[in-house]
Amino acid sequence: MNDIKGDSRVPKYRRLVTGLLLLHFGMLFICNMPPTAMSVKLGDYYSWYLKGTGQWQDGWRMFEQPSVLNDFYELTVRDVQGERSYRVRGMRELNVIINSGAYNPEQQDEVLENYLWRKREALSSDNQAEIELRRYTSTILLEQRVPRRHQLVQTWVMEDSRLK
Amino acid sequence: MGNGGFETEINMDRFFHERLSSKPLGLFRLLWGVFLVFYLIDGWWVMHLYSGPEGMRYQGWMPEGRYTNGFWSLFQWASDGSPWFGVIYSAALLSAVAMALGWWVRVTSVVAWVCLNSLITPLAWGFAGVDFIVSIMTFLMMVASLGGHSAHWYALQRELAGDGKAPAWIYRIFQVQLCFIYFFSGLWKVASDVWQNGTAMHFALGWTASSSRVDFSLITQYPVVNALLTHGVMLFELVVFPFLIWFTGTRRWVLGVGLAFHLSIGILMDLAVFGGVVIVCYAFFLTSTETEMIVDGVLRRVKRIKEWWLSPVGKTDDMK
Repeated sequence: MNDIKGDSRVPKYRRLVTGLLLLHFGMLFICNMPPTAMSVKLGDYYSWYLKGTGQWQDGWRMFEQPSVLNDFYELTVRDVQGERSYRVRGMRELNVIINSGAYNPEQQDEVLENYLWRKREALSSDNQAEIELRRYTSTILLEQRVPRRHQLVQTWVMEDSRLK
Repeated sequence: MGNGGFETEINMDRFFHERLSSKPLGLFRLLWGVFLVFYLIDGWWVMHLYSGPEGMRYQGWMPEGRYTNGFWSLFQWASDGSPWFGVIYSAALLSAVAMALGWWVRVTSVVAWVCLNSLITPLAWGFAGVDFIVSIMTFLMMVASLGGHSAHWYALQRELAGDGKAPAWIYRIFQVQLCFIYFFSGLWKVASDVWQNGTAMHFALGWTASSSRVDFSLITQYPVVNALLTHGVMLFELVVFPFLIWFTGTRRWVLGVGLAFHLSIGILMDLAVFGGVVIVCYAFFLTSTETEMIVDGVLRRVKRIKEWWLSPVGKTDDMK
C-alpha cells in the first residue's frame, strides 16, 4: 500500500476506475436478469451505453427450452449437371431457416428466397438452376426411445429468381 | 469509516488494481486474433446475406428496433451497390490478422470493434450466442488496449517495452463477463421444466440424430444418464464455473472441466465456433507460469515438426 500513500492522485484515479467498473458490472447484472418494473425503468438510463458499445445481453438462453421437433433440412439442386442433394448442417444456416419460421412466419418466405438465391450461386454455376429446400420432421418423445420416422412437411422451390 | 470498511476498500483496490503479468493477456490477444479470422470466414455467408450486395438490409428487411434503439452499424449509411461490405469485411479480417501478430494493437482493436459491430448488428435470424460474445469481447479488448496495455507479449513486433505488467482490472472485466455468461445461462435454465425434471439432454441428444454430424441419440435410451448430464450442465453453469474459478485450489479443475464441456458441445451440436470463443477467453484465468508452459510447449512441438520436416532423408542413419 506504500505506493498509494506516496501519491495522493493515485487513490482518486483508482477509486474512479473502481467506481466505473462496479457501475459497469451493475448494469450488466440488471440487463441479464429477467425484466422487472424496476429494471425496465432503469433501462432508459443505461441501455444506450450497452447497446451503443455492442454489449447488450438480455439473458444467455442457450438451449433454455430444447425443441421437441427433430427437424432436418435438405437442399436439392437441379441443373445441367443433374440433381444433387445436401443435408443442411451448419448451425448458422439452420438458425436462419428455423428461427425465421419460428419467430417471424409471415416473412419466412422472403428470408428463404434470399437464402436460396445465395445457395444456388454457391452450389451451381448455372443461374437457371432450380433449387429446392425440404423440411423433414419428427417428434422426440420421452416415452419412445427409438427415433420416429421423418416426414416431409414443407418444400420451398426456387426457379429463376422467384420462390414457388 | 470503521475498520471493516477500510479492509473492504483495500481488498477492492487490490482486486482491481494490483499489477499482474501481462503474458496471459498477450496469449489472449494472439488467440483472439486467430479466432476472429476463423469466425469471420465461418460467418461470411450470413453477414453477406444481410449486408452484402442485394442483401436483405437493402430490401428494407430489418429486425424491429435495430438502428433506431441505440444499436448502430456503418451499414445504416450504406446504399446497395456500394463497396461497403467488401471494405468493412476486409478491414475486420485485416485487423484480426494484425491483432494476432501484435501489430498496432490499439488501432486494430478499434477497427475490429467498429467493423465487427457493424457486421453483427444487422443479423436477425442466424444471429447466435457467439455473435453476442464476439461483440462484447471486441469492445472489452479495445478498452484493454486503449487503457495503455497493448498486450505486447507474444507479439511479433512489440509496440512498447513496458514492464510486462498490467493492472488487474483489465483481467477482471473479461473474467466477470465470462462468469456472468455461465451464471445467467444456468439461471434461465433453472426456470425451464425440462431442465428441472432432468430431461433436457434427452431432447438435445435426440436432435443429434438428424442434424449433427455425429449421432448421440443412443444415449436417450438411458434416462439416468440424461438426468445426470442435464443437472451436471446446470451445476457447472450456475455454481462450478462462476464461483469455484476464483479459488486457487479449484481453478485448474474448473478450467479442465470447462474445456471438456465445450469440446463436447462442439462435437454434439456442431458448435465449434461457440466453444472456440469461450475456450479462448479461458486465457484470462491462467497464471503467468501456466501461460509460459503452454506457449513453450507449443513452440517446442512446432520446432520439432520443423526440424523433422527440414531434415534430409536418412539423416538419422548417417548420424549413427
